[in-house]
Amino acid sequence: MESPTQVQPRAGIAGRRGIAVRLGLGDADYGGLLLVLPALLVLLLLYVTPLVLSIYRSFVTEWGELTTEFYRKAFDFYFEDMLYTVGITTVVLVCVFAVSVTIASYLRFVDWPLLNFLYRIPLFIPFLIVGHAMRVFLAPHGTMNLLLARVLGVEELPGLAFHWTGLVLSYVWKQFPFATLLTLGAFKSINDSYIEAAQNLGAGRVRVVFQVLLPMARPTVLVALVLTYVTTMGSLTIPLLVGPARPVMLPVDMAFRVTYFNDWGTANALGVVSYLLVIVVAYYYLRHLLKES
Amino acid sequence: MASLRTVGLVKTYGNVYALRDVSLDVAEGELVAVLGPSGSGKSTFVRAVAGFVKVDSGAIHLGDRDVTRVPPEKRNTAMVFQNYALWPHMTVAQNIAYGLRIRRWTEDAIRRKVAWALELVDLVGLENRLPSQLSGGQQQRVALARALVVDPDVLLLDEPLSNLDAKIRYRIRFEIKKLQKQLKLTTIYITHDQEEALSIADKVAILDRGQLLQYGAPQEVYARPANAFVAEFIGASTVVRVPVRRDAQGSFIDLGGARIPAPAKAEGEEAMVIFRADEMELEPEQGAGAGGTGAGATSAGVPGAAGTAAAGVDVPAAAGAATPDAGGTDGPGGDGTGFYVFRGTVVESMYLGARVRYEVRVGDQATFFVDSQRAIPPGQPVSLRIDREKLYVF
Amino acid sequence: MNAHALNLARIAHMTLRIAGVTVLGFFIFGPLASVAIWSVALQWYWPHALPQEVGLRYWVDAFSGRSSVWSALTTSLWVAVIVVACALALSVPAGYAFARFRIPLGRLLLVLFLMPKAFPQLPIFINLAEVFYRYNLAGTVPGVILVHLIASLVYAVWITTATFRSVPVELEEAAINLGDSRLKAFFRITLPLALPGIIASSIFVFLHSLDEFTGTFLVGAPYVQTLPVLMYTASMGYNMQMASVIAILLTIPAVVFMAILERFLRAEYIGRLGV
Repeated sequence: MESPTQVQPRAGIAGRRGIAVRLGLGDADYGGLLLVLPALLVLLLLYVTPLVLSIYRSFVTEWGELTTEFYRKAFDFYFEDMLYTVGITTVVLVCVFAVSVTIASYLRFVDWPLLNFLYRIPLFIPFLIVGHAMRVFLAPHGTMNLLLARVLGVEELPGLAFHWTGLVLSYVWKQFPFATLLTLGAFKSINDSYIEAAQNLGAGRVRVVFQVLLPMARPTVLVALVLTYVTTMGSLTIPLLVGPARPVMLPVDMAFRVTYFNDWGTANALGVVSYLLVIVVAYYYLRHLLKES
Repeated sequence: MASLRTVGLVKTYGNVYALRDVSLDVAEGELVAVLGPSGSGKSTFVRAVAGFVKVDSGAIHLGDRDVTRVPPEKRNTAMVFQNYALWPHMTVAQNIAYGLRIRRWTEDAIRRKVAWALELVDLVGLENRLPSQLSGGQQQRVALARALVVDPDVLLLDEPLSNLDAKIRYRIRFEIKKLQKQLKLTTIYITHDQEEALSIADKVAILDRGQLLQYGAPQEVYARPANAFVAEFIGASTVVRVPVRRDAQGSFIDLGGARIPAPAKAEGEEAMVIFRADEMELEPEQGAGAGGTGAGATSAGVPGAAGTAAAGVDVPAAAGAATPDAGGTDGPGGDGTGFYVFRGTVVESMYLGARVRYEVRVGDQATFFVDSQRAIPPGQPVSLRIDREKLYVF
Repeated sequence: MNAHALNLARIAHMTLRIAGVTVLGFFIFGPLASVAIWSVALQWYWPHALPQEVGLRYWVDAFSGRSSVWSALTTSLWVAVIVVACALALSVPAGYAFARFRIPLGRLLLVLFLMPKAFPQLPIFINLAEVFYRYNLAGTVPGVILVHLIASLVYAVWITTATFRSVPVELEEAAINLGDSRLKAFFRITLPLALPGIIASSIFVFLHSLDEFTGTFLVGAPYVQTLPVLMYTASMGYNMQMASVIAILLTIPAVVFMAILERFLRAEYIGRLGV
């Protein structure tokens, strides 16, 4: 192995550099890289390459010509769907935020095992199953309406399964547990004294949540929201099974463009649009992070 | 500002008593130090007064209000936390103004009151800093200001100085006392540092394992400790266990030949003899007398030089608590009540800077810790003298 | 505060709690219960609250030779196992390296490994499918395995990195100090201690592969039928019973494994991952 390129005392070296030196590997940075290389190669081949390809293919036809026709087509056909996608995702974000903050706040103050167990259940249910379950639950003649019809005595209830509300409900159902988990974890890591100091000065619990807990947990809450946003925007399984036929979420358009029309160019153009929608959010998130530090 | 009265507070966690029948009366404007080792319940006590701990039984009265079942946000107490609990996302001014905003003061009034508080704690100019930009001492003062602005009924300080350097600690404790006196704040001051408590408190309450052991003015707690624990906690470093004996005149213990009155206990049960290292006087013996080893008691009065009595003779007191032995002189004891004198040999010494602490073997039972400023070699026979009032027997 | 007001507040609080948990329970268990009922419903027409006829016929069908459930199940399981093996082979050395050494651009690389989950996946799958067509990997099991590997690496690398970070390096040093080679120290000391984390990572990868639909659908169709693909076809074909049977089959391993992982899913632990 390489010998240390610098002479350093054995004791008193801190951090990973020290660890490498102490393991007798000296300037072993590149040796370590060797261990990462296989995974990295797989990632480059299976992820980065198609990523680059998708951008390339959105600008270049099969015959190698540069063009904007795919983007024109994408916006022509699917502009309404783009707005719809952003709209639905925003509604989902608001709902997930509301539900997760409510549950996390309550559990921060009160120990309630039943709620603790209940809110985590959707974590264990795969996305695809959620789609199917919502289909049978929210259908016009689905189980929810069956029960409500009996309770409320109403004959014909609208079927949410093929309505945007059903779509939003499905996303929220699947995503709020993870956001709650993250938020509750951040709330719990805030020392009791910060909460008690506020209560001591007269703050009730609601005030404590909005003036102490949320501001202090902001980084984690933002991560939860960003992840919810990206997942919602990128899911194909749920909008395939739930929601109206028109308008529809962008991933469905992308998939159909490929499977029914063999139109890779436009599909990739839609893909790049979805990248941009995510990058815009990521940019604001990163800028916010950098501002804080 | 209000008086504080707790009546029989009890709090258990499982089988452990955090508070065991704690009753305390604090007059308006008084600063009471609650002193005790860790685990004594002092934190539990102050949190119970603040309302964060719900007591199992007992009552808490603020002024004429019974606040036992009142939630913490409605009690009008103000607490300074051990870690200050300054909200990191708010400026100094916003931290201080927090309680006022909840009480819906006008912006103008808030601004003026915050300025008043900043001046009081000498932090003018730092309104817009964030807590992370302040030193430990500055943070502590912000926490204090935040508590002061709301004019609380009781000010609660939970070990406010324990996170500060020793030098600053000494200075700030008096600043806190000054502020307290100036604003006439009823204050509970939690600490484990007995010197801190004695120096600034109007009254001292000593807790151990949830029980209130003594409550009184600092001088009284210091000079007349109610039991062995208090005596030990407030500065005593020597504890000697001696079996109690009885005779026609009452219970006593025999220590180094001296007859020392003891509390009434069963024959053979142990009593504790306690004293402070700096209250025992130490004199090297001038060669003569009972041999080189110098330990042990000779009851016959051997006239020593310079008026030192023979080993272990007790000198007649004003009120006849014990029978005078033969010989011995009435030395100039603290209030004229006389001394006990012992003989022993220095075994070891520990250099403490301003003084040296000597480990002295007395008789064949006892090890005394005595402070002196002189240099005394090990093996040196010494004679020890202590005011009778300052030797505590429990 | 007088006792009367206190009692009213307490009653209001209790009522809110009961109402809240009932509504939440309804929305969480409602869909799940529906699937369960559908899996045993032989005949169920509106507006009956429960199926008119109940039976295990669809379950029996699923496991007989007539339906493709059995083969889809075996395909799914095999693929998952192989994906776990590959993910471990790649992520254990990588995780160890990230934890112990200062890799050049280490931070950037870790973020790169996060991207498959943090960025839209569908365009990636679409283009990967096209590339696979050209290399005759489309519609094959190896192709599906590779697709599953992409997102699996996210879980695998991040979890193993965190796991190795939590094993104190002093333990390895002590072994080396006493004469072990670095490799021996790794296998005898570090790996056993990292085992819980590695198992957790394997479970995540296994479940992800088992439930993966989008990539499998785009790359594997129509020849490779995993359980999710089969379920989708059944549901779209309004074969609610069969779809529900498969849904339950898919949910069982998830529930079982997540119950095992429940210790790892404590809120405090996950909360720190976020920041």
